[in-house]
Amino acid sequence: MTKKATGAASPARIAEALVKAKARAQAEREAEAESSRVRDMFEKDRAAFARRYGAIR
Amino acid sequence: MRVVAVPTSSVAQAESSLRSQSGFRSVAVTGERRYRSTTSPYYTNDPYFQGFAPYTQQSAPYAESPTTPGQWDMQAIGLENAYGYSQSGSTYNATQNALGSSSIKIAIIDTGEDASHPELAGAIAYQHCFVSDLNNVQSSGNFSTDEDGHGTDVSGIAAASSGNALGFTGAGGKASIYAYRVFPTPDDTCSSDSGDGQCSSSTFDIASAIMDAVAQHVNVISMSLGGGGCTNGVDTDKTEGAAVSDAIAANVIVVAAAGNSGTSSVTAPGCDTGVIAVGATSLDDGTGTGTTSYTSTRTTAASSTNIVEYVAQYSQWGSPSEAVHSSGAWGIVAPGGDPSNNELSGTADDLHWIENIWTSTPFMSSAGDTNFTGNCGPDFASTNGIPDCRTLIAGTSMATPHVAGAAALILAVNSSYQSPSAMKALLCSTADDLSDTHQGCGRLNVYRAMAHAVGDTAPP
Repeated sequence: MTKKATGAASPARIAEALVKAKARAQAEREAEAESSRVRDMFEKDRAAFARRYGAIR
Repeated sequence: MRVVAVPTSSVAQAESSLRSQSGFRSVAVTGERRYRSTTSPYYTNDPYFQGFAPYTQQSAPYAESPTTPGQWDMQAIGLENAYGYSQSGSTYNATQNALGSSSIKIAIIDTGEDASHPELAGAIAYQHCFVSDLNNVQSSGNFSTDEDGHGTDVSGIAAASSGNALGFTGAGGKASIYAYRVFPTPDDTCSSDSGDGQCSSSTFDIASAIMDAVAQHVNVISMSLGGGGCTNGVDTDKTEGAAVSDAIAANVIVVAAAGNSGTSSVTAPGCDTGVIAVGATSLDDGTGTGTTSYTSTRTTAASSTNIVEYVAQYSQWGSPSEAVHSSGAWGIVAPGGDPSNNELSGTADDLHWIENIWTSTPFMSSAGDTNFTGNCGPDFASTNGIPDCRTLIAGTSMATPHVAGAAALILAVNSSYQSPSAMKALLCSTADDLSDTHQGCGRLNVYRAMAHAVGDTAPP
C-alpha cells in the first residue's frame, strides 16, 4: 500500500495551487504594466532654428 | 452656405443683422478669420508679440518677416484684443486684470522649466520634481533646469513674462507658473520621443504632480503629454485617472493635449471626463514650403492672399469630430503649427511653426555640442544683452498651453469660471468656426471669451 507523505498535496490541491499561482502571476504582470505606463510629450516636430541665418542648425 | 455681397461701408451692419437672426449656424466676412472687436488692440511691450503686422480686417493678416520673430498664434486667438479690455471702452469697464494676474496659477506638468530664462524667471512661483528612478524611488527635490526644452517652451506659450520688453507674451499674460518636472533627464535630444524611456514619464509621477498642484490650489493644470486612452471617459490608467478626477472635483481647470497620431480618438489624460482636450491648428498660405498635402477636412483653398487656418493632419480628434460652439464636443483646437517635411531640414515658414522660448540648459551629447541648443543670441534691440533662447516647434503640445493660458486670463477677470464645465462652455461657445471637420467646438478665441467674461454689453 502506498502511503502519502505527511503534508503532501492531493491532485485537487495541486490544481488549486496552480490556479492561484497563475492568478497571482497575472496580477503581478498587470501591476507591472500599471506601474510602467508612460506618457510622451506631444510635439510633432522641433527645430532649434537660427532664424537670422534662415536655416536649422 | 450662402455668400452675400454688400458694400464695404455696410459690412458691419449686415454682419450684425444676420447674426441677430435665427437659423444661421455662423456668419463670417470673406477673408476674415475673426469677428470684429469692440476693443482696440493692445500690444504689451513684448517685441515678438508686436512682430507681426497688426491684424487688419479684410486684408491679409499675419504678414511674415524673414528677420523678425513673431507670434501669429497669439494674434490668431485674438490676444491683443483680449488685452484691449485693460483700456477704457464704451461698452465695458476697463480692467487691468485683462492683462492677466499673478494670483492666477497655471501648473505646467512637463520636462522641467528653465527658471533662469529671462522670460520665465519672473513668472515661476513654484517648482517641484516628481521623477521615479528604475527602482521606483521618487525624487521630490526641486529642479530648476530643463535639459529637454519642451517644458520651457510650453511654459512660455502659457505665461512668458508679459510686458517686460523681452521677446514673447504668454496667453495667460501675467499669470504665475507652477512648474512641475515629471520627465527624467534625457540621454539624447528627445527629437523622437515615442517609446524612448528617457523621454517618457510614468503616470505615477504625473499623478503625483497633479495631486501636488491641487494641494497648492492652482487654478489651471496644463499637460502637453499623453498616452493610452479612455473607456467612456474613464482613464484606463487608474492612478492617473484618479488624480485627474480629484482635480476636476476640486474645480481645477485641467487642459491636456489631444495627441499627434492623427487618429479619431483622444489620448489620456485628454480623454478623461472633465478635461479640456486640445487639438492643433496651423496656417496655410499656399506657399511652396507651407502647403501640406492634407486638405481633406477643410473646405477652403488657401493662397497667399487668403491664408487659411485649419486643423493639422497629425492632430487627434474625438467624437463627434465637429460640434461647433458645443461644450459636448470632444475638445477645442488652438494654434500648434504644421510644418511640411521639407521645412525640417530646409527653409522654415513662420506660419507653420509656433515660435517661443527654449531652454538655456539643453541636453548636450558632448561639450560644445550645438545641436538643438536653440538660438540664444542677444539679437533684438531691447534685450540689454540678455539671451533670448527660442525655437520653432509644432504639435498639440504647443496648442495646449494656449488654452491653459487663455483660461488663466479669463479667471483673472472673472472667477465664476473656476469650474471645468463652465470654462469649457465659455471657451467653446466663443470659439471660431474653421469649417474643418476635426475642429471639435472650434478654434479658441480668447478675445471673444474675454468679452463675455468682462460683461461687454456689445460683444461681437
